[in-house]
Amino acid sequence: MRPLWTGLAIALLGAGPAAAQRTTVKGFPVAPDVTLRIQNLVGVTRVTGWDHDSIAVTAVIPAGGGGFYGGGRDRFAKMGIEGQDPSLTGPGSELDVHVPRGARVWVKSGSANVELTGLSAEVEVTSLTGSIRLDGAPRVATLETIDGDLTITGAATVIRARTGSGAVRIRGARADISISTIQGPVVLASDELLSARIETVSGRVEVRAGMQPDGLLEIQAHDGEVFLSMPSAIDARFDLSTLKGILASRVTGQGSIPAGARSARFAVGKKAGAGRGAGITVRTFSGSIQVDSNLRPE
Amino acid sequence: MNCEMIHDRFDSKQAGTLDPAEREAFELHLAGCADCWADLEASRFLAARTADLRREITPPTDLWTGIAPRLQPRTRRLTLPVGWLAAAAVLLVAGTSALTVLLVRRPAAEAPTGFAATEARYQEATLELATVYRQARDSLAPATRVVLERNLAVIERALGEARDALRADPANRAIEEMVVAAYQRKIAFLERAAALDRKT
Repeated sequence: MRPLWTGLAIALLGAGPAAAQRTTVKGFPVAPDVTLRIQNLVGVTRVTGWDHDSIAVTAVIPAGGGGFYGGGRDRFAKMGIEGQDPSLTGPGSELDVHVPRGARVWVKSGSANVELTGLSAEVEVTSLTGSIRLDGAPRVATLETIDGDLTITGAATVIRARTGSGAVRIRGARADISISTIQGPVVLASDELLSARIETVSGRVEVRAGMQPDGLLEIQAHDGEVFLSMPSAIDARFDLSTLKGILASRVTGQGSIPAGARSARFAVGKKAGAGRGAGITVRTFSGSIQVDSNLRPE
Repeated sequence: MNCEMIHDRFDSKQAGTLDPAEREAFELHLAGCADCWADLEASRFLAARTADLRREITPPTDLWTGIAPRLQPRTRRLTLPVGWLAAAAVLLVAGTSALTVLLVRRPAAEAPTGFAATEARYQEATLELATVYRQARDSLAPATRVVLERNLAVIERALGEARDALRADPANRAIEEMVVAAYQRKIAFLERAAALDRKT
């Protein structure tokens, strides 16, 4: 790959009603596996992987929105907006950053929304109320927010997603998935899950997924409802249990569960019948559990 | 409810005897009051530490066997003066009382056992983290505090329900696991809350 930027270029633009708004453009060469740290607490941060060994950033900063800082070389770079309103209510800045696809990217946000696309290595994002959107297939994605939504699309290898009251939506991931929410609902859709663990206190959990032959799915909720929709050809062992909730299962090939039952263990499919197959475990305190094997499109 | 009313209801909260309206008001206050929340944590920590202490002590039988023969009616001792018997009775009462005091004190130094010990460790951890959060709380933006404490209130409610259920069915391992999971969730969230700095 060739460096697109061979030096440093800074342009200061701005006119008219937005005279107080400043736009900064900056670029510099880096290694293809550069580690980049970005901080933008308020506004929006977009990070896009591209096929160049360089970083290019455009920062749009409104009046009173702080100032841009940033730079780096070889395998380390950092940038961000300093002097932002710590109450997270001030004017937000817009950071648009292009990085090598193999970059390891770390983003810190407060209320700023973060969007990442086209990255293949590792991404780690923390925010308070800002939403996080990841599109692509990084090896490792660690996304944490207290109150924001998390949306992940693509076949990331390892996903760690944590939020408090935000919603988590994951589509297309297959490998190692760990999701934790407090009140936020979870929707996980996948053709073939290998390993997924979902924990919530009161968020609704909806999984529409097939399972790999030895896949594992574990769900633990307090009073959040759990809904699983599996393909009718599922080959799995089910272990469902609720202390005070309602249990309902309509899995093809499974015997009936007595009305009012609080737990059920059964196997569906040839491998599962022989003690193998995928393993699906659901535990709730008072959330209802519903399983059905007529996978419908989300 | 104000802070004083909340403190007055700590025991009822621990015992799970708050009625639904009281409980809602209690949790509502707790969601917005870090001081009461930390005090409740401290109260829970203490409750867990003392949960296994004996409520009453029966003196060991070997003490009685040492004294009883001397009080057995023997033919020749039927003539003992009443004062001697009274003195022996006083000795018995004093000895038993002293022993009771010793035995009551001794378990206070003993660590809780079984699940109570597990819970005590979790409560110790949550108390420490709650203290750290409490110290950092004032430097956080008000909106941040609201978000954090709203989530903590949800965790707290779930933990309370799981603990109430365990109190009603102490041998239920599945509920024990739910209580542990609730503590772990709370610890993980407190760690995140405590790690937030002034900028967020």
